Parts: sequence; structure tokens; C-alpha cells
Amino acid sequence: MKLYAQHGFSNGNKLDRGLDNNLLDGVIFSPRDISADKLPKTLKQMQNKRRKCDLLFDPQLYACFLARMTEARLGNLLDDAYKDYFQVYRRSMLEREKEVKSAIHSSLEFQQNFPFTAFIAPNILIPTSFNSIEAVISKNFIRMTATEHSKLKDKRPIYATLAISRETLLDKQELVEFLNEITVLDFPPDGFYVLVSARNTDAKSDIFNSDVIAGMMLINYSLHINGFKVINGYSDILMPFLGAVGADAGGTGWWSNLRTFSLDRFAPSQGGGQQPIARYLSMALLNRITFFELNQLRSIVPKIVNNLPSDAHYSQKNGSEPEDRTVEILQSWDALKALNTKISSNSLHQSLKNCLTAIETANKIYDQITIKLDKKSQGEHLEALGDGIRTFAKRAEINLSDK
Amino acid sequence: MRVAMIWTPPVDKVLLKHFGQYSSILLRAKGGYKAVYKVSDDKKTEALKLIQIPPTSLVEENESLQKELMGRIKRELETLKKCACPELVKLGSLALVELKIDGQLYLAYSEEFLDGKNLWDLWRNDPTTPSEQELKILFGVLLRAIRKLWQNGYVHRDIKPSNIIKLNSRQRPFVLLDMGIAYSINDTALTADARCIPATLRYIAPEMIRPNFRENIDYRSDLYTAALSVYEYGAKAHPFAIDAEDAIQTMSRALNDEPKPFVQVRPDISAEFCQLIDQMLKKTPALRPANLNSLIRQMEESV
Repeated sequence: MKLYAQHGFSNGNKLDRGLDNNLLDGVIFSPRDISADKLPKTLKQMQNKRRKCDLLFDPQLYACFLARMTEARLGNLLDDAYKDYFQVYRRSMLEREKEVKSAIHSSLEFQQNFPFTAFIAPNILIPTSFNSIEAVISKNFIRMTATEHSKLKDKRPIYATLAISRETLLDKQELVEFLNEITVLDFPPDGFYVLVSARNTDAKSDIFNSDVIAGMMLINYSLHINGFKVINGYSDILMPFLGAVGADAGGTGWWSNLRTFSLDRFAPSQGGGQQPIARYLSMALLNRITFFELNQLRSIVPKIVNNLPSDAHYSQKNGSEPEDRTVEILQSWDALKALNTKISSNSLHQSLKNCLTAIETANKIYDQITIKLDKKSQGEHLEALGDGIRTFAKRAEINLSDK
Repeated sequence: MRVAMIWTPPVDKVLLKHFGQYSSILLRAKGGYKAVYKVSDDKKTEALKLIQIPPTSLVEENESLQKELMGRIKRELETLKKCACPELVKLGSLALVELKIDGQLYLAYSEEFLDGKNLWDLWRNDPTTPSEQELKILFGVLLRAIRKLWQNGYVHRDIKPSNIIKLNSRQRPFVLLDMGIAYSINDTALTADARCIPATLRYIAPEMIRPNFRENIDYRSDLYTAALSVYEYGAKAHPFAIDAEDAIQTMSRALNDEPKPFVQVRPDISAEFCQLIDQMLKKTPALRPANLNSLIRQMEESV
């Protein structure tokens, strides 16, 4: 499974270091966070150095309904250069097929000018239910993606965006019916760029809910079975679990808003935040803990340490505090890459069993921890993860007990 | 779901009077409303299909049934015409005619005569077990037929071993018959009573049992029944049905039970092919691999 950097604000040299250290297989660029002027140079540099690196561009059209808000944080998306495709739309406008076609076409035409390795078509977010006007619009975007792409006569693959809220995944029947429709398209794209949004990027429980996880896994599995490539944007720690059921790639980035997808990132700010405490992604815990928790625990529960090269950035000599904030994401990418390899197998059954074993192990290790952990570091997500996998297996008609 | 009336098809001699162009007519098979005869003249042999149209005066509901039957026959002929391909039975020289025999109304037309046995008879009576290669060829043929039908907006809805003829020919190893209940996604539904599901219950795809199935039926129902036919022919056992059991019980199992993995009944067959057949038998259409071109290529490359 490929690991992509979910590009965002304040890149610095994070991407370069991630790619130089072979932690990343590619980058999904965010136009909100890079000006169109800087794109060509950045892409050229990456291509010169690493020919095999996948370079993708998320058009972020799902943020278009926020563009009317004066305080919306759309960053560079409002630059003139992006106006070639990023426009202020009303929902009613996109109910017309003509507008949808035009929105897809202009976005793909824009991307064609750059050396991206594949196209990502735009789409809107389905905010509440698959039985909604937004879902109809979204299906139209998906249906027309490959047709508009074919007009470019460009051989680079095309991904349709499927952006949905976590609420849509709570209705199993609606999800299945939606999947039944998008898996038989007259002109199918090569793959899907899947985004599942939470109310805000700190709402971990929004995503770590058994129905949401089961739904995400079912989407990946169904699309994979039907021959589509699947990239899960902002999937972070769920990446290996989605890889187990057929996902081809996942993305995560250096801020919490690059690890969980939410339109909150584009909406007016709710007030300033503090610089978060540096964290360490423990493969064994399937979670991040603060550097001082790492420092307290690493001698008592050594299994929480990954034993990967990036651990060197969290030296015990410095109280396990990373030398700078850039290395935090390098450590995350390193751990996720290793976790992807550890969980994925050629057999679906084996991969799912690896997922369940990883959760069981994490639970056992949490039981050995006697200090009080920060709320985000605790193991509450594990129950939802385990239940999510079992619910997925049931919905996907997979018998976990056989073989 | 309708119970067919008991019907005795006209004997060969009676038919000869109506179809003077043929030198011989032999009854080959009969179903609820139709019979198939092998007919010959000096130059060719064909299959004559004779369909009984129930009299409208008999029962009140027969008027709509008559309309439905006539609509279905027309659709069957239209489907065969539009979807002409080696994998589907071809139309014969006799165009649709209406005739009365002993006061009873019939429709008749001809199809090519296929000199082979259907897979139902084969798996019941032939002790040989089909090889993996044969099953892959069979599945490939069915996939190509399904693709051709879907390209024209049709779902066959009645793929089953008795509707598949095995021929002794490399070019046409198997042929799919009977478009009698084919569903057209572009036309008005023909079923008079919307509560009725035209299908053979032993081979019905789970989604077809849902009352609103017409809203989203697609070729994946045919993928299910194609895989079911391959399973039954290959394993010499139906994954859900038990002989002499009520078809409703079979249908209930198809809805709720997991089929025994194909590899367990045919351990000599490659795991890859067995998994494909198992995957096609998933109850949710979105879980069945549906990229027909890729599946066909996969079958062609593996035989």
C-alpha cells in the first residue's frame, strides 16, 4: 500500500525529507496551501529528484460552498490562477449536468498543465445522507468524470472524488445502494479518491466509530473488488486497516487537520489554538502518545517503541522530545509505512486477522500501562476499530472464522 | 411468482398440418406455456417454439396475462435480434406467427437448432466431472453473453443450467437460450402484476427478491446466476437447493445462508477461480466483481 503525504500549510522541508528517506510514495497537493505560481517549481524539483514519486492534486472543490463566507479560510484557492476551475457555486447550480461537466472539465484542464502523475476530478461533499440532493450531485460528478477526462486525450489515470461525511456511513442500506450504483458506471474512472469528513479535525470519535469504520472498509473493499484503485485521503492511522481490504494508497500530513478530513479546515476560524504537544506514533498502541508519555513508558513497556530508524529523533537523552517539529511527521510516516507492511497480506482473510491481532496486542499493551495517559493517548479507539472490522466482515459477507 | 397451468402441447402430427413447410416435427421439450419442437425441411433443421396464449374468457386476470405473454415473446425476439452473437441462440427462418389449434391461440417462431445437451441434463446424467478449463470456458461464454445483453440494455434474468446448451464445437462451446423473461432497462415493465417476480426461484439473485428490484436491477443479477450455474454444473450440486425441497426454502437459503466455498466441493480447481465464483455469489451486487471486460480477459487468458 502506498503512503502519500497530505500536503498542507507550512510544508518547509517535510516533503523533501519524507521522500528523501523513502518514507513516502507520493504527495497529494492542497491548492489551499500552495499558490499556483509555486506549483510548477515544486513539482519539477520533486520529479527531478524522484521519478517514481506519485504527484496528485486535490482540487478541493468541496470547499466551494464556503467561498461566500467572508471569513472562510480558503487560502490560495481564491487566487486568480485557481479561478480557472475554483468558483463560487450554489448547490442549485450544480444540480444542472452542464455545470457539473464544466466544473470537472475546467478542473482537469487546469491539472493537465502540470506534471501530476494522475488526475483527481472534483466533487462536492455529501454532508448528511446518501439519499439527498448532494448525493445526486455527487453521483453526477462521479458519472461524468471519466467522460470529461477522455476529452483531454491524456493517458494519465483519472480518479473520481468521493467526499462524504461520517453521518452518511451510519445508514447501512443507503450506503449499499450507493455502492451498487457507483460500481457499475458506463464510463468508469480508474479509481476513487475517498474522503470521509468529521465535524472537526479534533473529533476523533467521529471517525473512530464502528459503523463509520465498517462503512469506510466496505467502500474500499467494494471499489477494489470492482477493479478500481482507491486512495484514502487523510486516512492516517486507519490507512493500514483500509489497505487490508484493498485500498491502494492513503494520505496523512503534519497537522491534525491533515490527518482527519473536515470542511472545518476551510470554514471561518473558531478561535486560536495552541501549538500541540509533540507526539509519537506507536505501532503497538495503534495511536499517538505525547513525547513525555513515551519518555515515561519506554523503559517500563518497551513494546510501545517501534524500533524504526525514525525513533532516533525521539532520543531518551532529550527526554524523548523530538529535536524539531518536522521530525514528528517523519516518525508518523515511518510508523505508518511499517504498519501497512505488517498488516497487509495477499490474503484478505489473513489481512483482516492481522488487523484483529494488532488490536488485541494494543489492548494488552494498554493494560500494562499504569500511568494516566492524556485523553488522546488512551486506547478508547480500539473497541470501535475491532467492532468496525467485525461489522465490515459481516456486511461484506466474509466469514472471519473460516480458513 | 405464478403457478403454471397444466398444459399438453399439440402432438407432432397436428402441427404438421399448420406448418406444411416442414417434413418432420418432433416434440423436444415443454414448459409452463411453451413447447419446443425439432423441425426439418429439405435444407435445414430448426427449433420451433410454440407458445400457448391462455384464453381471456377463462379467468379474468388472463387478459393481462395474455398481454404480458405476447409482450414477452416480442421482447425475446427483439432481444435476440439486437444481441446477435455466438454466445446467444440465433433466430431461425420462421418469423413470429399467430395460429389457432383446436380453438386455442398460439404464437410460434423458430430459432436455430442446437445439437447438444443442456447443462442440467448433463450434470444429472453424465458421470464425468467438468474440468477447470471447461468451467472457465463456460463462464467466459456467459460473461460475453451478459456483456452483449447489457450493451443493449437487457438483463437475462433466467440464466440456469437448463438454459445453457453444450455444443461439440470449439467456436461455440456453449450457447445461452431463452430470453423469455429478459428485462429491458429502457422499456416499460411487462409484468402485469408488479408483485410478481418473473424468475426461476432456484436461480434467483438475492436482490431480485426485493419488492423494488426493478428500480436498480442490472447485469450483476446475471453475474450471480452465471456463477451459480457454473457452481452447480461444476460441483454437481446446487449451493443452496436440496432436491425435492420447496423452491421457497431454497430462495430463503440464498437470501440468508453462505454457500459452501466452491473450493470445498471442487478442491482440484485453482483457488483463484474458486474465489471468483464465490465472490460472484455475494448477496450484495456491489460485492460482485463487475468489470466485464476485465473478467472476460481474465477467463480468456487462463484457458
